[in-house]
Amino acid sequence: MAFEFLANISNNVSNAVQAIGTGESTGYDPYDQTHAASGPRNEINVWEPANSSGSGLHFTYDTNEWDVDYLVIVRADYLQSVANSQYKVTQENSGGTVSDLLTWTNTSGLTLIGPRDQDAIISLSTSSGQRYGNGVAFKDSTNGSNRYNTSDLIFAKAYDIGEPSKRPLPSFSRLPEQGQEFFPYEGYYPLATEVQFSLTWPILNRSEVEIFEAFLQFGRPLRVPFFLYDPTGDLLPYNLEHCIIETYSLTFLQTADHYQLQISFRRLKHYL
Amino acid sequence: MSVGLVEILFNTAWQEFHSVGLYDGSLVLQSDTDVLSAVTGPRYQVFSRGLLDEFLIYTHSGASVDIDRCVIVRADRLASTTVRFQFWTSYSSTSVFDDVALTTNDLVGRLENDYVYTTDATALSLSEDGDAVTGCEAVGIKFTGASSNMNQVYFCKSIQFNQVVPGSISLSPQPRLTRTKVGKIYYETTHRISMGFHQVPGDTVLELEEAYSLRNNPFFIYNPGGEIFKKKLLHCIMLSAPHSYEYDDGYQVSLDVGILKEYNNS
Repeated sequence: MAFEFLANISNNVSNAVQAIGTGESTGYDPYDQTHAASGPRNEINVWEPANSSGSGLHFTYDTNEWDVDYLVIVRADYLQSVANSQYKVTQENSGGTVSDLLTWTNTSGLTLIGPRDQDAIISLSTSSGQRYGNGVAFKDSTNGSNRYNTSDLIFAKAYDIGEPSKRPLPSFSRLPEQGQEFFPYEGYYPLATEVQFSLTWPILNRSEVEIFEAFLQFGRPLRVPFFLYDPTGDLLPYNLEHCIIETYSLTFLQTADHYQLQISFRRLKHYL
Repeated sequence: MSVGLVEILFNTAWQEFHSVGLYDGSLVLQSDTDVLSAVTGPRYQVFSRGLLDEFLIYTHSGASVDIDRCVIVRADRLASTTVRFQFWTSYSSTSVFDDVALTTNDLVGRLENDYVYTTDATALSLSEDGDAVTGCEAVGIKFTGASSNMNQVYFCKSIQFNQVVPGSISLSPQPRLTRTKVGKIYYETTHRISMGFHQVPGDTVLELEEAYSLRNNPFFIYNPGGEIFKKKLLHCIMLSAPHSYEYDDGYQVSLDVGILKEYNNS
C-alpha cells in the first residue's frame, strides 16, 4: 500500500464555508470554520444538531474540481465517546448542488489511528464532476440532543512519491519543552510540536520529484500542517502523523534522473 | 565548448561598461531616471519603457568585451514581440544584430518568466552557436512592443562548468523573510542551493575570481539542457564560492547560493 502525503484541501482551496443544519441551535459558530480547516489540535469545534439534518460544515472549493482522496477527522475519539453518534459526508457538483457522498454512518465503526489513537481517516471516491466542495456533519442515530466535539476536518489530496528508506527505520525524537514551539519556514504563527523525525527517499526519479514539488506548491507543507499516511505502519508505527515540514534537502545525484530527498518533520503536539 | 552544462551568467556589460541608457530608434539618449533598475537589484525592481523601437544600451567608449548571453528578467512582458540583440564593435557605426521573435515557449526560470538569449552563429556570423561576440564596445536590446515595465537585462560572458561533483547539488528551503545583504541591498531568498564542480580549468577559476560583480550583485545559474534544473534558470545571490586545487591543472569549485524570491508584480 502507498505511503502518502495528504495535502489540506479544506484550508488551501476552500473559498466558502457553510453550515450544515440551521439556526444557532446547531452549534455552528463562524469562528469554528477557521479552526476546522487547519490549526493546532487543541482548537475544538462543537457541533450540536437540532434535528435529523445533523450539524457540521461544508467547504466550497475554488472554481477548480479537486481530487479529494480522504477525509481526516482530527479528534474522532471525541465522537466515539458519544453513544449513537453518526457522521455523513457531502459533496458539491459544478452547479453548486450538494448531495450525500456517504450517508449517515455510525462513528463507532471508525478506526482510530495516530500517536494517541485520536484521529480517523475515511477514504473517499468522488465521481467526476462532484469535487467542487465537500462537507461533513454529525448527529445522533436517534436524533436525540447531543454535542459533538472535533478538531480539524481535513479533506485531503494524496501525493505518492513511493516509500522512504526503511534502512534505517526513522527515529522519533521527543522534543524538550523549550524546543517545542516551532515557527514554520513559510508560516505566520508558531505551532506547538512534540516530536521530530526524518525520512529519506534515497533514489527518486524526476517525475517523483515533480510530484513532491506539486505537493510543496499545493499543500504548502512549510506553512500548513498536513498528514503522512502509512497504512501498513512499516515506517510510521501509528499509521498517521499530523505534522509540518521542518526543512528538506533535495540532492541531485548526477546519475541521470536520480535524486535523493531528505525531509525533517515535526509532529504537532497531541493533547489528551 | 560553446555551451556549458552549467553556466554562471553575471552582468558582464555592467561590470565593464559602467554606462547604461534608454535610446530611441535613432539612438538618441532618452531622459530617464530609473533605468539603473536594469543592471541589478531584486526581481520586484522595475524601470519603465514607453517608446516603440526603443533601445536599452550598455556602452563604454574604447571598451572591448566579449558577450555570449543576454538574460531578460520578466521577459513574459515581451512575449509575442520581436526583440533585437545588437552588438557594436564600434559604437554606433559597426554592429551585428539578431532579431528574435519571443514566444512564451522560450521562457525559462521557476515561474517561466525569464529569457536567455544565446548568441546565434548564423545571425551573428560566428563559428558556432553560443560563441561570444568579441570586442564589443556597446551592447543593447531593442524593444518593439508596447510600453511596459521591465526588470533586469543582463549581457553576459558565461562562465562554464561541465563536470558536476556527484551528489553535490542540493536544494533546501529557507525561512520566510530570510534576507542577505549583497552589495548595498538586502535580498530576500527562498531557497539555498549548494553545488560542486570538478576538473575546472585554472582559466575558469580566474574568470570566477575576476567577476567581482558576482559578489556584489545577483546573477544567474543557467542549465541550458535542463538536465539538473528542469526550469533551466535560477536567479541567485552568491553566499560563498571557495575553490581548491584538484589535479592535472584542474580545480574543484563549490558554489553556495541563495535563490531570489519571485514576485507577481506586473
